[in-house]
Amino acid sequence: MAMIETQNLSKTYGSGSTAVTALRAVNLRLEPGAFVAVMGPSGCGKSTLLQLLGGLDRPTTGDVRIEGQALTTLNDDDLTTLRRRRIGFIFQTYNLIPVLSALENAALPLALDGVRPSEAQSRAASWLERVGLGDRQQHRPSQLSGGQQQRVAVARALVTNPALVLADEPTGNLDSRAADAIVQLLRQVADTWGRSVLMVTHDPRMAAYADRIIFLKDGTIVEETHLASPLTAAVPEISDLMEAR
Amino acid sequence: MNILLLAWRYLWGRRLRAALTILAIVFGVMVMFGMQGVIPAVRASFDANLTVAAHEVDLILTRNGNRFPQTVATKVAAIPGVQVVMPVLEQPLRLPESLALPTADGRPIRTLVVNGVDPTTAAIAIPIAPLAGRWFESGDERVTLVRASLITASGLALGDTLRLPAADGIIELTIIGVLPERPVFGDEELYVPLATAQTIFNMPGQINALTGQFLDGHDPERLREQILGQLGPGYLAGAVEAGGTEWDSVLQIGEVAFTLFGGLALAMGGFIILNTFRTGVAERRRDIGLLRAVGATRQHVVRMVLIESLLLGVVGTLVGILAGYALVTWLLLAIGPTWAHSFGAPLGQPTFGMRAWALSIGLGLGIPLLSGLLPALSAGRLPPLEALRPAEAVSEIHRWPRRVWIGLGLVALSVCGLLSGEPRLALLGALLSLAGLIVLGPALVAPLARASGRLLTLVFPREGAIAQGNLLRHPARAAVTASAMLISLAILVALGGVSTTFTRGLLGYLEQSMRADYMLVPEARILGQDNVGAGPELAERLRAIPGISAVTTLRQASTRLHDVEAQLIGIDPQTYPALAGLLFTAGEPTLAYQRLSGGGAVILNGVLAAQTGLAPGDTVVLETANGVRQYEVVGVGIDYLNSRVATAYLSQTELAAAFHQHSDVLLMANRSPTVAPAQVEDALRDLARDYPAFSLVSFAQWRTEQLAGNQTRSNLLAILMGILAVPSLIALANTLSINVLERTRELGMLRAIGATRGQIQRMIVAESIILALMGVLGGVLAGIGLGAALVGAMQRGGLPFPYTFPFAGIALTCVVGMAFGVLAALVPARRAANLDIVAALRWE
Repeated sequence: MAMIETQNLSKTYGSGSTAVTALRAVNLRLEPGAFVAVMGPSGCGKSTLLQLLGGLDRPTTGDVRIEGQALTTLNDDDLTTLRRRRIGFIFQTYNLIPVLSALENAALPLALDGVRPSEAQSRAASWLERVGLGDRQQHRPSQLSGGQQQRVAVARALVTNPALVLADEPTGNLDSRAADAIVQLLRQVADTWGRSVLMVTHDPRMAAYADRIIFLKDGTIVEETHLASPLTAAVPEISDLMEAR
Repeated sequence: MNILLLAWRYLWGRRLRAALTILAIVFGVMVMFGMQGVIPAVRASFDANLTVAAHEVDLILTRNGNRFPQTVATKVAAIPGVQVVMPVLEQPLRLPESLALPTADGRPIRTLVVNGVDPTTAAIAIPIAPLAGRWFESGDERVTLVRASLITASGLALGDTLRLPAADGIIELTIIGVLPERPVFGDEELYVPLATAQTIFNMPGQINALTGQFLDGHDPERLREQILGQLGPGYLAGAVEAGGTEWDSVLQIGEVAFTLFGGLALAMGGFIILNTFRTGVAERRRDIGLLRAVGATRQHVVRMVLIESLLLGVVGTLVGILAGYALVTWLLLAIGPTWAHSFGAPLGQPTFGMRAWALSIGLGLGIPLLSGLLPALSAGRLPPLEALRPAEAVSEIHRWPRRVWIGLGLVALSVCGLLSGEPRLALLGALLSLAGLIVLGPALVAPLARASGRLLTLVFPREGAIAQGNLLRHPARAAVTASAMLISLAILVALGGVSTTFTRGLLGYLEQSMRADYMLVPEARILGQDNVGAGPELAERLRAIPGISAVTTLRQASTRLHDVEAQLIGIDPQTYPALAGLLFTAGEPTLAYQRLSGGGAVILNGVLAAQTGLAPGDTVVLETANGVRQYEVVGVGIDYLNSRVATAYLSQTELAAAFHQHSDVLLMANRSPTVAPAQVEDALRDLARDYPAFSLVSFAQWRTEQLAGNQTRSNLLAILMGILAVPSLIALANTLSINVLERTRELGMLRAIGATRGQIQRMIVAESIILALMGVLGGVLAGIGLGAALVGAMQRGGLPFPYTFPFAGIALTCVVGMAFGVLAALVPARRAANLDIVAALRWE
């Protein structure tokens, strides 16, 4: 069974003469443990795709299935529970709560899920260790660098053991060193911890870490590239593809 | 783009927030402007009508509300230039239920103003021609002239008999004339021959006013001075002002109360604006930096923020004035029919004097401007580079050493004031305690939020902790919001304390100073000038009832001493202590009653002693009906009936000699312990039937009535206090709404990572509850101090009630505070829960 599967997924904003179609009949399949990058120019529908896959928004037509579960059949509460337990989100701007420590931020989804605080904290601490922030657990976001904040966001995304991690431009606010470190971490998420990762990015260098790159243009998938050996990736090759599109 | 346009754009860009911010200004201006419109409308109507009524009278002579001998009329008539004088005994008369005049609208007439006039001069001195019938003629006795409105309302006709209560039972008067409708407000009036009025009120040879007209060619002002000169001190000569002063003082109190109420609401509005603008400036750091970078001066920035607050003030004031106008128009329409029935004339249109406009516009614009000043100055101080730098996450948990010290200093000063024993210092202390708590506020937020957050986690285990963190992020804003609530609730608790103390104290007096088994109480249930009273024979007949062991009575007059208007209560020093009695706070009771019996002595109650500064041993000069006379103060004591009014107690013998007062206005009797109640009660009921101006009540009944009256007053006060707290509800709702707006992105993130709508709602409610808890805690503490200070002032004002801890007031405050906490969160919580996740995540 595919981890994620979409069928003719479309999204139109507005109606009548002001209607804008952000996504047109997208069909996509993602296997467990895969690391997929979505690329494309601004306004091509990357973020919309990610939002529909994460159940943050509803499609105009078509459907998304996560582990076989059709999202359109779920009500708001069930969708929320699915998001909380099966999907992890990573945002470009980290979106950490400034008054909470790194540990508390990472434990937040578990707290919302009603997990006992001691257990939530110990699970969060273990993920912080894994993302290399074992010694920064009590630091507040303002006391962490951008890269470190994004690692906390990665730990928060993984703390509930989700099947799928959705990352929206996770390196957009980081310098190249920190960005590399974060994408390597995402690679590890897929390879070592067996989660499916879907990452939206502009950066060919970051996309090169993925197993597969999907190119979007005007709301449709125009190209899919499987990288035989990620990490050693032919970045110029990806850039050329981007240029061509 | 000029600064005004920029300010407008910022406000317009955050319309919802702006609207929420000006709500309290609208509320305050509405109350202040609207209510002030009612009072001038009432006053203008009074003035207009009084002017109409007064146009023919050159002289109205009174003696500080006292009666004086009818012979004064002869003296005045002999003064050259006086054309005609008319002795008058004018007094309201309360009709018992059995004699009330039924009317077509189902609301019987219960009070009449009896004008006893000299029948020989009435037709000249009152140049009003009867519509039907005639004026008095010499020798008329049991006759009356009534107003046409009374005829219309009651269905009586010329020649009918009117039955009225009188000091010796019931008097029957034949209607001989109908006068045109009375142009002044007030109760229905009737004219009777002077002797008849003196019989009704048991005041032979006494009058309480003299009206007169002067011959043409004489200066009325000078002639009035001449008359006063001849009569000696104690008399007042004027036209119609005497009757207006009482109403005027009531209206003035109303005016002050409404101004305070509106002012408080506006102060809350100020807090809200301060809060909003501080947030706004923090949010717009980068914009302000950019403005500064492209050439805006500090003054430009300050001006922009000030213009925004001014614009809010302008809109708030405008809407408030319109809402106030609508409120007063509705109010006048609503109370119009009742008013017309009670006062005999319709209410006018709303009238807004200069004061209403000046106060509403001045405060409506001034307070927002003042509140915007601090945020504006802080915006002006932002260096451009600093402001343009990417904003670090603001997770400040500030330390506030300077604030803490200033706050602690203020609290210490307030404690000194409260303990000083000096009423003014105590009041200052109470205000300082409020200021101290407000200054300490931000520093108190962290511990209070943590403590209440822990409590909340018991109810909302997951959301309580997040809510607590959210508040800790902005301690200053949380403190300002909690302060707005704190002030409202402190006033609530303080008033609750004063009210409880006052009620408990009075009831204590009731239990201790009233010991009679039965009472014949006047129809109005209180001692006052419109009680008809009874001659001595009622007391005699009461004493004669077998089984009645003791009887005592109260008589009443009024006087003036040390420039204070006071009522005089005539007691029988022999019998009074056994059935009622004063609670002495100075002087020795037995000796004081003995001295009272001997004459030349007076006992003061606490209110009068406080107002005049007199103490036992002092000599006081009273204006009597026979001129001024010296008395020695022999004690200070209080009884339940007169505890709220400045009162002096004299012996009844003295009251009769010096003030010509012989009527009993309240009678008390004790049953012999060996006699069963049924044995005396039939006879008592029979006796009461002959004196319809009195009602027979057992002490238990009367006590129940008094308790019920007190309860009603307490309930009314509770409702008023509840309304007083409304601005704090607006403040709380506003802060939470702004919080939700500000945290839109964060809320979107929480929803994205799996927070349910319910969890978001509970988180906002939890924040509100923590804020409310902080407000309640501070409000209760400050309110207890403020209440104690006010009670202290009351004690020095002559009501030595011990401070009663306002448990009920505090319980009410906690309930109101927490209910407001939940109520205020409803809309913001709903809004937060229903945020579109994608849009929220994109929120800038």
